[in-house]
Amino acid sequence: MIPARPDLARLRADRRTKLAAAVDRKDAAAAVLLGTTNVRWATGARVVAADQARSARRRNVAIVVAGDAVPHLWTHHRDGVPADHPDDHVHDGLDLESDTGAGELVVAVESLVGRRQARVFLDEWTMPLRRAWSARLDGLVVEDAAVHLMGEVKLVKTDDELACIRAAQQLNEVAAADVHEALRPGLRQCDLSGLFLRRVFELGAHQNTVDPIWQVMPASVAAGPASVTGDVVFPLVTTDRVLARGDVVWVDTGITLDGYDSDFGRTWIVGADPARAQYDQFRRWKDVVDAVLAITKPGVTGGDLCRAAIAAAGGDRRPWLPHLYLAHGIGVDSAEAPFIGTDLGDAFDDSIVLAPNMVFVLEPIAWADGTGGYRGEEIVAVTADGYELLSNFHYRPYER
Amino acid sequence: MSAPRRQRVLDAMAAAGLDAVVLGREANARYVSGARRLWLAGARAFAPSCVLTSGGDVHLLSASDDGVPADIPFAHLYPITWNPSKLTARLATIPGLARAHTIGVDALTPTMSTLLSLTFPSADLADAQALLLAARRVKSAEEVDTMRAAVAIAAAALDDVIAAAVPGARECDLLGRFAQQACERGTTTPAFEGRFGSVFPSDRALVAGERVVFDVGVLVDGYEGGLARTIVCGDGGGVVAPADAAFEEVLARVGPGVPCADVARFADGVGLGAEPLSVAGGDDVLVEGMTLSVRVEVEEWVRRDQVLVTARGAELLLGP
Repeated sequence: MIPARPDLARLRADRRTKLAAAVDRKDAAAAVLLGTTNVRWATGARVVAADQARSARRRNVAIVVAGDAVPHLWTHHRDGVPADHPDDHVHDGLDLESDTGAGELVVAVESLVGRRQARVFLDEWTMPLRRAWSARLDGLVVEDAAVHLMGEVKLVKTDDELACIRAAQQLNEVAAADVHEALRPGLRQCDLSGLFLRRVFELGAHQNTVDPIWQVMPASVAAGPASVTGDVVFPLVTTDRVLARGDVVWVDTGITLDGYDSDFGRTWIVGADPARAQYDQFRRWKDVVDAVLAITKPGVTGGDLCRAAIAAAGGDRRPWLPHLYLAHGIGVDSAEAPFIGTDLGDAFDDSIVLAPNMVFVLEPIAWADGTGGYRGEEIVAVTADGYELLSNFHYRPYER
Repeated sequence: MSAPRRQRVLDAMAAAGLDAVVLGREANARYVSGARRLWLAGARAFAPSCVLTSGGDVHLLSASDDGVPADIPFAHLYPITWNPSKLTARLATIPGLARAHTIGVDALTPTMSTLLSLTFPSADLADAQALLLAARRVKSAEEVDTMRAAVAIAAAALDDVIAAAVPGARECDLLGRFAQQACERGTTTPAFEGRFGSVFPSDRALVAGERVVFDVGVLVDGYEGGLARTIVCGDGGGVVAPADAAFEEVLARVGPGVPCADVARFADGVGLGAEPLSVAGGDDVLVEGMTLSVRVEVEEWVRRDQVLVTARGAELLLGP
């Protein structure tokens, strides 16, 4: 049962327990986490949202040591540390882009783990960290924390996590509804971004997570930007392009609230109702969504979902962007495991078995030249005997 | 703008003996390629998204030619893949990479370290991040102009916000107002989500007489423009801020040849986002053409501005 509001203290405690258990189970001495979202998941601590360069220099770092469920946290943002994180596990932030900061972290790893042969999980290296690490910690066997640790602990959500995702999505949807109301010919793409961002911050979003996308779809694949895969190109970066009546706009936005991401996707038409052929695109998309949802429940595989989607689209093509996926997970990352329908192949998809409290964003597309196609996203939480939608947004102007 | 930047990197690669660089950091990829790609918040793990060979060929992760400069051939674009073996197979087709003895990378993950070593078994992996940061350090006139444009947008947007920072205004509304102002001025990408009173702006309402710090930054074509100002809420902005005198004082200490260590207390590097002040360790000095973010704080009054290091000293990037 998803609570109406998440209990954030309980959520953090549950995550810590899960992570500590995984470190123990895998017989590792520690997990050293640098990645923005991995540290966020492990500690609940906030950082100021920023571009990649600043985020890298002012990142939070977490170390989980076997036998101690509370992560050590190095942070430049004391204001962002949850009040229940013990003071003796909070340290001044490190700049891992510098030899000095990297050296300090290596000393900290050594003092927490000891000078011994041991297995340690690590998600990424800055070049100074790699240098300092190989000079001093050559007794440690490093395994990729992103691949072998964080993916599996993030995969099945707690009810509080589902409540967080739903709350983030609801906030995003309120802002998106306001943008949709304002949509009209003569506005620029960047004006839509401005309206959207203003609303999400007014509504209390903790950060914006992706430069909002309002892609005007080309009349045909051939008329669009040259496509490396031959398929319709998406997403394109927002510019000051002026919107014209009849433009078909694929919308994709994402914000973060209490550490969890939203993912909003819909197709809008500027100042016009859909023509019959355009409405048919929406129907084709909706048929795929409905077919996937109809079989969604524990025990069903990612491969089953793909086959249901393909059958609903007529059986001759994969109704999603082939370089992306039919569905992806969501949590502290806007796209995380499970990834379903990727180029990893059918056997990989068949190896993904749905379980209660897994969550995925279903994002098929429909495309026919001359219509602008249809793309939308629905967030689906797997329940004990079926599913529950965490997204809830209208399909205007395709459906009233 | 990208051709001379790329040449700087090629010169640095030749001097350091690198046959190719494989870049994952967006600022580096942008410097080398000039490509405009999707802005995402946060530090992402390393993935090969831009390759530069010593022969000058750029190969780029991109699903289309949108935002890709015309001097990068379409055949040099490669799409995203979830399959590591497809990625490494694609990288192995790049002639300058396949034959390389030394490949520079700007970051790594344990998995990518293994994959690159398996794909290019005779190549050593070297530090390309230090090399790129050194190459990026001195800005061209065009780069400086882009930063001036970014600073101008940030300053105009902040002026609008300060006018609205009246008693009762909520911090999160001011953050939202700034974001909208920046977008309407044509840039949708922040350098960071700014400080509007609190470092993490909340729904707290400003009260008359309180000191409010604003610190903001936007990106234009990847280049950062930002500033910080402090006001007293509701006083009409007539007060001379105590930080201004201190700011003038430290500004006078900036100039070519000044040891970085002497200005590190109040200055940091800035360019394609945050950059380090020093790239060569302890005895590094400021040089003409560097761009800095200069920040002073006096009794919780904060002032920050971006400056260009010129032969005569420090020049504010914010116009009059």
